[in-house]
Amino acid sequence: MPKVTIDGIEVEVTDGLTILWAARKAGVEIPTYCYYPWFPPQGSCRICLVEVEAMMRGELVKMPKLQIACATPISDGMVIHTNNETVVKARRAVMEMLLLHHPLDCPVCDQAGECDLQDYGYKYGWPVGHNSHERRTYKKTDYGEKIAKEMNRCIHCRRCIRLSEEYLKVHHIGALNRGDHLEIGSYVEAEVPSEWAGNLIDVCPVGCLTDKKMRFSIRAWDLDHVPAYRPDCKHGCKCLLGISKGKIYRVTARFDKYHVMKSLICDECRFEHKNMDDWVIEEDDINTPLKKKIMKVPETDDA
Amino acid sequence: MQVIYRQKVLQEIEELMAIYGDDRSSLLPILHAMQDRYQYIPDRIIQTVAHALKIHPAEVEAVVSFYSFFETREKLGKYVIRLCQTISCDMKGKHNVARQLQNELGIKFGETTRDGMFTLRYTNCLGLCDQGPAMLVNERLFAHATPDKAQRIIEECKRDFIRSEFPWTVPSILRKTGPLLNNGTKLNVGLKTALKKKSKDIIEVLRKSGLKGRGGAGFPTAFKWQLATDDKSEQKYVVCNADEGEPGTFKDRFLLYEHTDVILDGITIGAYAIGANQGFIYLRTEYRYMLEYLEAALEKRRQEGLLGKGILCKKGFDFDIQIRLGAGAYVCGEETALIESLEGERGEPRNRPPFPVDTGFFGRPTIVNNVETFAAVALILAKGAKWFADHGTDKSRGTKLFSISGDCERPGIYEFAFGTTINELLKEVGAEDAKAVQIGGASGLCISRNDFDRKLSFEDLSSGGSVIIFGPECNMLDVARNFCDFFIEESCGQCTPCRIGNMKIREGITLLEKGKCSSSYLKELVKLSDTMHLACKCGLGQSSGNAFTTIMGGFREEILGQVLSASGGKVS
Repeated sequence: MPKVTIDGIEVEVTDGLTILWAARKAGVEIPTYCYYPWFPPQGSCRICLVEVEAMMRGELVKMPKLQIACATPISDGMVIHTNNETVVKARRAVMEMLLLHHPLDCPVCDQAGECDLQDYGYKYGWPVGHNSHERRTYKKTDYGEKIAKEMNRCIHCRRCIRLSEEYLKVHHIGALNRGDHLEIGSYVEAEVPSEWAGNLIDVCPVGCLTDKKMRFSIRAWDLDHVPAYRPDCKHGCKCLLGISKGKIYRVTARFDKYHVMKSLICDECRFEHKNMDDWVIEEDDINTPLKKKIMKVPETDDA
Repeated sequence: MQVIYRQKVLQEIEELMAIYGDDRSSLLPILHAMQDRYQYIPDRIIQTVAHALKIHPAEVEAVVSFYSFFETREKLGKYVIRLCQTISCDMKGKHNVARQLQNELGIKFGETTRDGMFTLRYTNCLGLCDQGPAMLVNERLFAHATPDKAQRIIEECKRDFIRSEFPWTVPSILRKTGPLLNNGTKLNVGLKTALKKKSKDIIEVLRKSGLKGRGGAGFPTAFKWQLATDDKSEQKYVVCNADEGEPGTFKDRFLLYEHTDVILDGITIGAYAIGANQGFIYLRTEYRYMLEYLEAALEKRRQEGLLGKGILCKKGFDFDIQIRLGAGAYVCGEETALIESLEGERGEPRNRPPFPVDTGFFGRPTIVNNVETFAAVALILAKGAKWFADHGTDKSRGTKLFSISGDCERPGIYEFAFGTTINELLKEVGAEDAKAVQIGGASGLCISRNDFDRKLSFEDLSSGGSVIIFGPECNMLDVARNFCDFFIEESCGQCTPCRIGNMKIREGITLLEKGKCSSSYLKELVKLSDTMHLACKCGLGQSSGNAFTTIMGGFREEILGQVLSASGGKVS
């Protein structure tokens, strides 16, 4: 098994793994936006850039450009820097660019509190920015009754496009135009015709796609997250309830520790059942890393 | 108003699918045909195309909206006038022509006249940089446009170019030939010699010749072909990259016209060496006027037995070439984006690795080479590796065609051996008073007087052959702005640093023009463009800051001086 050194930590990893997963194994965090383990890496957000020294003919050679951790496979003897000056500078620049056109309307954004842009912006961003030009804005378009779309917040990671193409098997969403006018849009602005369309909300790392039914009703950090399932659901969706004071505000899929969905959930579970009577609370899902959050059992005894 | 009947469109599409195949890769040719026939691609056509190809309309719309030559919203005029807006035409008085065109037609750029006769558009580089300003009217090319000539061209459009005073096309100006163009070999000698050899011997000859890719990146051709040969896949492809979009390059246009057979020989040799049976020429749509001519050349070769089954009576070597048109996207000159475009997708670069030599067109091994590389291959095989390797420097063998434009006495195509210094080049073209030289087009470097002893070679100043000369009067900030605008327009928008970084640089240039940019901010912008060089996904993004960095490096005094004069010397 190849051995690599990441920020001075030596790990042994299976062949063919990417730098990102080797780093995760070593316990080194590398930020990602467009990477989602469900899809082949796209390599477009450029936030996961790292500096790589690879063995070439017995010598350690530094690669001339920074490499994306999400798509570059490891090879034996690689030395990877995720935190040196070049990487930090590049990452800061990418972070600044992502925030350049972002409306920064976090106070009224439903994603606030669990937003990758906020988290990484806080961790890897730079408090100084120059912004003297007008922000790029988009015409308001919609994804129907259930999903609220705020295109101005989009960071163009295209996870939604890939999810709908590869898992939901609908091709309604696509990238339109090019360059700075690039827009993620649906053809003739139609609703996404899938009973799994709600998963687009969960796959979106920022506040571009949010749950229309819970919009402006509660802040994410006021919710307690409880794993539950609905006996009537024909798909057997494993859901996570967002509960506050005995009321269900939202239903989402369950996430692993990298904030990746564990499974899809159907729209019926997600949007239609906000009554505690419909749900069976699971005791304690060992696999749910969110359990490290203090989970309050809802006050109602029906569970 | 023209009514579009779905049934009729469907029938037309099916006819096209019979020619180009019924898979996704036929999408671009179909869209081209639809655009020609209906002058735009409205929703109804998008739906019908999607239906015929069994894909979703959103996918078709994504492709249509990517390419600048397709129009979805309104019908284009009968004559679409495209004026080149790149720097060399800009310096030769494009603005006056633009103004006159607007005056004559009473519309602005991007609009169509009410009677549906004319549409005015800007476009990027038409490959006539030495004879600018260049204009393209549908498929007719006009050089040396002046306000007066613009008016006469419009008049001619109105009578459908009957008894036109202008020639059908504009010939290239060849100024200096060298061993490559003066080769003195007979037709098809290279191909005949190659077919007598084994694949590994052909690659060995190329290795000895030291040939490197002529597109600008300088990847050793023999190594690329070797990798593709080693792959044991049954289906392989050869692609000739004729998407010559780099501002200031026009040598491929010349080669495709004047040395067609040499190039086709080269492509066939490539196919034989790696074991491919299908080739493509990806021709940029701005060169569409060449399509008919190239198709005829291919047809002639088929009849002569130089293409098709059993080429030159060589059993088992079947190979044919198709021409595919681009649709106005500079980024498609990047090889992975080119392959995406061939597959009928948006021309967005892929992640590398995997490289096209093992995972290219439809996942099969594909070699993508520049037009000039293929020409060189054919000649090397005809005349031997030594003939080629005798010229140039140690690391850059051979001679190369340079497209020289801008402020000089004799612009045109020159063949120089590698290792020629800029000073020597300037003397040859009559521009010894030049203030700066842009080597490698918009994505290249701007060299100021101090560095005129640098050499044109892969180890020093690597380029695809574009040389733009800026005279003493030239305002370098305008140059920077022009290049920056070019990249903003041509960025595919996929990766963050390129999509947004270029916008930020342009914002900085605007500040500089207004005289409101502090030198510390300027420093930060230069750092940003360095970061883009490190962080972008493809060559376009990585090199998009080059011009800005080098212009700011070489002409800081001039530009900051401009800042002071603009602000009246006051600090605000």
